[in-house]
Amino acid sequence: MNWGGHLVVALTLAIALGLSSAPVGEPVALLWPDWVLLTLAYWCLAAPHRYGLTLAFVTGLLQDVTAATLLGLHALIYVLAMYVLIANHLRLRLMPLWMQSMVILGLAGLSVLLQFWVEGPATDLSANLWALVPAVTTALFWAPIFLCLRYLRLHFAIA
Amino acid sequence: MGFHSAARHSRTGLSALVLGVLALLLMGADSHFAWTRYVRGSILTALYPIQRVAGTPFQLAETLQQEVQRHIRVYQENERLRQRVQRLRLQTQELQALHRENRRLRELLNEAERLDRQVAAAQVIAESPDPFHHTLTVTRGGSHGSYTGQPVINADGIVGQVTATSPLTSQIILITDPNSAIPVLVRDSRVRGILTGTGDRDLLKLRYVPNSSNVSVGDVLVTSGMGQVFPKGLKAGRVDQVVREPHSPFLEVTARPTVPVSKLEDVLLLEQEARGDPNGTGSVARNGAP
Repeated sequence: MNWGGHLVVALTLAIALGLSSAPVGEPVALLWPDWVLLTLAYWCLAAPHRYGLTLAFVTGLLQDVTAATLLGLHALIYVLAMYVLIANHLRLRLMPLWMQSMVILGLAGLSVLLQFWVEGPATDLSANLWALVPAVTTALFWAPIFLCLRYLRLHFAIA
Repeated sequence: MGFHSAARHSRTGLSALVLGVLALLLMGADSHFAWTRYVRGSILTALYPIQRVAGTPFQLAETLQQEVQRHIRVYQENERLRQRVQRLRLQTQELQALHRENRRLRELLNEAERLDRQVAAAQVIAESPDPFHHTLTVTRGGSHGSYTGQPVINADGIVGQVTATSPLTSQIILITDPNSAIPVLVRDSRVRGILTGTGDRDLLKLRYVPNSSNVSVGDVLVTSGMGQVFPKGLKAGRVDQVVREPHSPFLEVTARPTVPVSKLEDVLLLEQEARGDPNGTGSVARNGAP
């Protein structure tokens, strides 16, 4: 068992959770990417047999608590997104970064739409195109996150 | 390989299904039951350090930003208030000037009412620079009805008389001009004399007062009405000094004008005839004037 590797993964996820609930100001909050999705996506692509859907589920629950969304909503979103990634991880690994970013864009967009669909009536997130902006920034952040986490993975010899 | 991959695939699919259903059940529970509150609370407690650490730089940045914004706002407000103070100060000065003018004009008006005469207000627009010729130029001329010899007063008493007119302005010789001479009497003792200017803006001389007359310092000199230029009873000066020379037939009396002639801004030109009497003595003065 690579406990050091687990620790690094847990730390990156903790940082992602902290970032996603960080008190950023109004204009930045509209652009704030889904850090947890990005981090989970990397680890699931890099080591799908080790960090899989259970991790996504648990992290999703934590995200639900920090974001004060319906308990299980992010868990569901992340489980579904990670299932898509894990099921296609061999194909995805061969794709260039920008195409991976497109896939992330699609997943993040679905995540936003699902959140809307579930929470829309309760919290009055008026459905306009601005709400999809975080999905775009999430996709844009995929490449730097990918490079950072890959550096960590190689450095700590994870998976 | 294919079998292996398919088996893993189906296992992943199964766990996705199980976890997805679990998530849906949790969502249902969260919206209908209260016990999820405790789950949420305990997770939140566990996450507190993470959130705290992650939030610190953002809070710092926000505090800094707010501080900077507050400074900018205070600076701008300061600038605005400074400009406002300037503007208000200017307004205050204008208002004070207006206030003074208002009081002056009111006094003039009172004087005009008291005299029961036709008067015309005029503004002083020029003053002779020659120190020995005390003349003023005012904003009423021949076209307004001014004429040579017209008496000029203000609320404090006699200013002088018109010596020359142009269509739009008149020149006034002040009572302090050396060429000015006005028949007056001492208000209390009714002693007559001629009040002449000296060339000093604050000094008049009362001439031809008999040595035996009863004149004392502080007595008020009023016009006697004898020159037919000024109406009777207007204040002209106040006795300042009385010198009794034993061998001279006359007293040496100096007086101060009641009107501060060096500070005049508005004056009244007095029509010679009483109200409603166009053929009064004014025409005489007009004809008799040089």
